[in-house]
Amino acid sequence: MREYKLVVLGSGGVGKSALTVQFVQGIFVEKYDPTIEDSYRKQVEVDGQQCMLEILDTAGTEQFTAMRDLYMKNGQGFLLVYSITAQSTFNDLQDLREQILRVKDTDEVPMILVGNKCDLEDERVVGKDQGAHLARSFNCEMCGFLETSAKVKLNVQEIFFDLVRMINKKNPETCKKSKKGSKCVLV
Amino acid sequence: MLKLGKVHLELRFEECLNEDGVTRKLAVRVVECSDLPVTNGACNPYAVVTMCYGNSKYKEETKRTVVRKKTICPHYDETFFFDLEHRGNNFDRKHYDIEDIFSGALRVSLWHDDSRMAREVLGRILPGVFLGQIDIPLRDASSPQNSWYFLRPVLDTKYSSTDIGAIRLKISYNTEHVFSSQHYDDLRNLFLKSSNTVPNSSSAACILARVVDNLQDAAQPLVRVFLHHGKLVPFIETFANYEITHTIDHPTLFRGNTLLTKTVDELMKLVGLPYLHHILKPIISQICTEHLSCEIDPTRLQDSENINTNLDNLRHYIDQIFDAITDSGLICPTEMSQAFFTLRQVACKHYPDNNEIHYQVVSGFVFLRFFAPAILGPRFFELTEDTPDTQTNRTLTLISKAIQGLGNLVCSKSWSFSMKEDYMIPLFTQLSDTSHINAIKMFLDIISSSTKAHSSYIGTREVPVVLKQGMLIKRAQGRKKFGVKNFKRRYFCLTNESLTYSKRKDGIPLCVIPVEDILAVEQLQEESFKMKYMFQVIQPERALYVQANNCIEEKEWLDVLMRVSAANQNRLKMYHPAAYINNHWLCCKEVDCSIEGCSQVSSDHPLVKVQVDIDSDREIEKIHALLLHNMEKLEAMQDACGALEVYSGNQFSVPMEIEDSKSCFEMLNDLLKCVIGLEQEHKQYLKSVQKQHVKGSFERPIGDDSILSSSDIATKL
Ligand SMILES: Nc1nc2c(ncn2[C@@H]2O[C@H](COP(=O)(O)OP(=O)(O)OP(=O)(O)O)[C@@H](O)[C@H]2O)c(=O)[nH]1
Ligand SMILES: [Mg+2]
Repeated sequence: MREYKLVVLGSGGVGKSALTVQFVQGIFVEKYDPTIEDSYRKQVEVDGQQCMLEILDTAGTEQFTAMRDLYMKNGQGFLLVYSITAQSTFNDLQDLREQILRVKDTDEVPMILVGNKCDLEDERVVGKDQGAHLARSFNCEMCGFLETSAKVKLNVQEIFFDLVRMINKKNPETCKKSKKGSKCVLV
Repeated sequence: MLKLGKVHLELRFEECLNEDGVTRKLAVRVVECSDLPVTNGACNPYAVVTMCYGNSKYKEETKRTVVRKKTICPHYDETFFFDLEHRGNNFDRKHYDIEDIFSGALRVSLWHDDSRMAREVLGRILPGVFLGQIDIPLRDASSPQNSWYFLRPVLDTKYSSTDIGAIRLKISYNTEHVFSSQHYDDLRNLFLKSSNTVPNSSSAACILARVVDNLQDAAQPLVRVFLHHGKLVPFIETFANYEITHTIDHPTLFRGNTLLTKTVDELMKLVGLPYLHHILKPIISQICTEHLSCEIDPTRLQDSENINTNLDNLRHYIDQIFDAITDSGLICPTEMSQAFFTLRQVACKHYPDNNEIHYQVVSGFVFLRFFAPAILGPRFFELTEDTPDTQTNRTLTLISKAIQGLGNLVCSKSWSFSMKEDYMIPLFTQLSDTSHINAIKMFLDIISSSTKAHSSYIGTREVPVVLKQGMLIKRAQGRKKFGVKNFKRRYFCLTNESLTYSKRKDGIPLCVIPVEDILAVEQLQEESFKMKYMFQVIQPERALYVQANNCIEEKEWLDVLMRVSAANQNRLKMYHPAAYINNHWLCCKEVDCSIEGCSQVSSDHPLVKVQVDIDSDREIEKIHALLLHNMEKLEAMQDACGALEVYSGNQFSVPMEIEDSKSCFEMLNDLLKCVIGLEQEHKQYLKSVQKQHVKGSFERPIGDDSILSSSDIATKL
């Protein structure tokens, strides 16, 4: 089975953990408990193929970001999450993307821009067009964009599945030759 | 840089006519040296001039000066000529073309003449001790030179030819010229009034935060300036108020990267490192040396490991760290406590009924941004020197997660961990009990219970935090004129506001001593009343003498009383170690009962009262440099303000969000004026420096590449 290392990045409180836990366990975490570093494994079927997803939910708190380089080096696909209710969380993503490209030393890194908390339409400050525009400015091929809500379970599965598809597209090689047990690691 | 002194040389090419035609010579005049090093208490220096022709090692010629005795600034004024067309016995070519000459080099080395020491140089035995040398490529001497050169240590040739790999370094060096204080007053005052500027977004601090690339660059000098001038608390208060009114969902309050959160973060690093080290260093080094496996994630477990043993190991470490942290409330540095107190007061004002937020705003700094990151990356907080290995790193990560979870326990109504990762559930189940919750509450209460150093919220005062209580014996204070000064058992209670006593627990207080009236807390000499474990609480008019039940209790009361009164402005410097009895002080025998004390009060716990050296001028200079670097953004902001003013912001879309264009425009104007004024002074200063110090002059010898000297920068300006 092919393994995928996915990394969830974004500022503090945007809902990275809420999205991840909603995807992995199907529950919405109401309480805000700032993350330091959590990891999850989940087996899913994407387009008829079994995949083992290893998801790293990272810290948005700046004091922990010294470790970011390491996560970025090991990650194959990235979810860049902001909250549609906080402009600064959207602005922070530009730097984050640049850091990923620098660490990965390539322009072709699968990522998805995620505008979370879209259930809070009344408190929206980042327009949907702003998100779409930023994603286009990144790299059309390698950057998708979706608005999500961890709370009402909107587009949660989609962002993870789309990211897996993007990794497949970038790197279509499969591990059919290798026997089970051996891992396929993509760089 | 190693100081080896410097040498003054004059080099020029000369052409002479002789029977062969034109010959070229290099004239090397060794004028003098300065500040040569002293060897074995002496310095009898001489210079050796070596000419190295072309690329070949073997075409060399050496000459030397006389020896000057007992001086580190010898004067030689000797000139040597090197014949550039001269061919020694080994030379088979008649002429060197000019290129060849210029690929040669001149070496001047200095020696201390000591016959006991000898050294072989270029095949010749030279008596003496090597002092330093300078190599000058002849290419540099194509025009006449008259310069000072720094002497350097000899290069070890052993490694120079072998390829030992390459390292790419990025080094940046900044020179700062700090003027005297009055030059910075205008700019400083603009920043110091940041907390009074309305609206907040038009303040100098806010504008600086908006234009810098990295908030930390702004927060670092600002926190120092505010702290130095006693403006940190009002600054935190104003900016916290601003943020709280601009944050819609309170769970994410103070969780972003803003000037406020960065400032508190910098403050904790500035005054809190010794405190952090005191708490964490022993246990972190224990973890690093013991190297026990603490992995509790079954998917990462090694075959030989037992998950229950690992959980026990991990629990043991977590307990130790948790106890060390929660016991440390009383030694938390005053400045940190005041910041936490202020944040908590602001939260109380906005959310009077939400206890969780009151804890959350404190925990969000001290656990989330201080303890947890320090445990996760001890190297960044100078807790360890080397990078821990993978297994230790994993252990530290797990501990950091648990400590952060514990700190966050009291920040929600449910008082529970959020059970996100399955493998953490057994651990979190163990840790969520009332004893942990109470310890965290108590700790957060203590560190955020500063005295009334700043109490603008009298109206919305919280319930005072009880810091310590218990039965003690006290002597009557003589408040009633004819009362007998006897000893009575009373129930004492100390909160962050006052010390009270009553007949029994929860009884009506018989006496209330506000914390700001506590001028000193000291032990009382046994002979005063022939009683052990006595201490005194000194107030403006009298002293309360109290006896504890044992020495441990006495120490605990002293510590906590000292701590709550640490921020009092009117604290005493001197006190009487014994009581005033029978019309005199037992200690100094003085009869005047109001005379100043005869002994120095004990000093605060060194962790509580941290001494930080702050040079306010230097910090303002840094702020000036930041503003100067972002001049374009400041001007763009000013244009935006102007546009808003003129067109009321309707006709044209202004690219920037400006809350109040008028006050913002004025502040920008003032800032720009200060920055431009200061910059002109800088330029003038650099010009004068440049005039004085020409490259190669005595003040700026050649070879001084360890610093980018001022004139290099001046030429860039
Ligand atoms: N209304 C709403 N709230 C959400 C949503 N997603 C998360 N939240 C809430 O936002 C808060 C923060 O969510 P987290 O998922 O813990 O945030 P995070 O990005 O993991 O934060 P860090 O771990 O500190 O980086 C929590 O109180 C969540 O309940 C959402 O889609 N809608
Ligand atoms: Mg999280």
